[in-house]
Amino acid sequence: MNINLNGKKYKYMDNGSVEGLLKAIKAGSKKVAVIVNGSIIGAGERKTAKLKNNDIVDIVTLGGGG
Amino acid sequence: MKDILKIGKRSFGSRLLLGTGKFSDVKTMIEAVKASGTELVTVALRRFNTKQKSDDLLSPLLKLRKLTLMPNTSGARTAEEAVKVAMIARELSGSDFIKLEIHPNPHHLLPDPIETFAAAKELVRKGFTVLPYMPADPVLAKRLEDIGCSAVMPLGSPIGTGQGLRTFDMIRMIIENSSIPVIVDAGLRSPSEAAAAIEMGCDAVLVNSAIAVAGDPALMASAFAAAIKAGIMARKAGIMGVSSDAIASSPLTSFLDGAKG
Repeated sequence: MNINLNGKKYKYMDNGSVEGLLKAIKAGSKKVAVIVNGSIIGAGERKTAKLKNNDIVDIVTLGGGG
Repeated sequence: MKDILKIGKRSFGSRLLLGTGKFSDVKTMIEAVKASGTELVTVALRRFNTKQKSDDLLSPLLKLRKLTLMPNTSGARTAEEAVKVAMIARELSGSDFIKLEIHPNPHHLLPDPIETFAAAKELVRKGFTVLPYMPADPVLAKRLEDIGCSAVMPLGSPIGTGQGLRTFDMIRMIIENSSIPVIVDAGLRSPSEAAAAIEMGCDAVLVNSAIAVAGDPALMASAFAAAIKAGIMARKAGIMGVSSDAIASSPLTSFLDGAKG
């Protein structure tokens, strides 16, 4: 399926779960938040939450800031 | 007795809050954090970068003892966006501390008072410990306190300008009318300005650029910490008042009257 991942087109070939996507981009063990179409997907939901074609996905973390 | 800064339900052993942006690299930032003695640092949300593994700032910060992360809502242009960012940030940091900052104009980065007030109200309702970055406006400061903010953070001067405590008189008014901590944020350039802020009655200062872009950030962080300590000591010692007339320090005896040369 094709999704928009962090502002760019991304071809997601895995089982369609959010957890699978995180593993695919090597963010599985990182402290990240997942937002799909504007809604936060909590850590407990990632295994079961499924992505669809054209979903807008943002994977965010904490970085430097003032 | 140890000097304690109380914000909301939490206590901190340092009155220096440190921003983690603008450092040349993560190692330099961590050294500055350690040198500063800070117990509260600000962080920002950013997109996860799959390609750049070496810029992980979170892991080394989380290893430091007695350090609370306070995400900011930088990037939000409206109250709605700020609340959304705060919800995401709380999910990430596990902390309910939020530095509320809404500055839609990228040229001056001044905080929007109307959106800030609206966002603060909503975030307090959602259980956040809200520290709003705000214009140095005594009326707004009191309104933010009244709706439940845990501190107010009036700017000294625009972010990153190093123009110092240009809002000195307004901040003084805020301090006089505030029952919650007043933390000067933005624009401080040198440790003496931090000392001046503390001497006048501020409870803490938040510094980022002045430390991050210094020639030696860790040393500058130590200098700011020392300046804040000096400010607290001066307040406790009792700073002399200001007089319009000169008052001699040495006795003005008239024994020289009539002396022949």
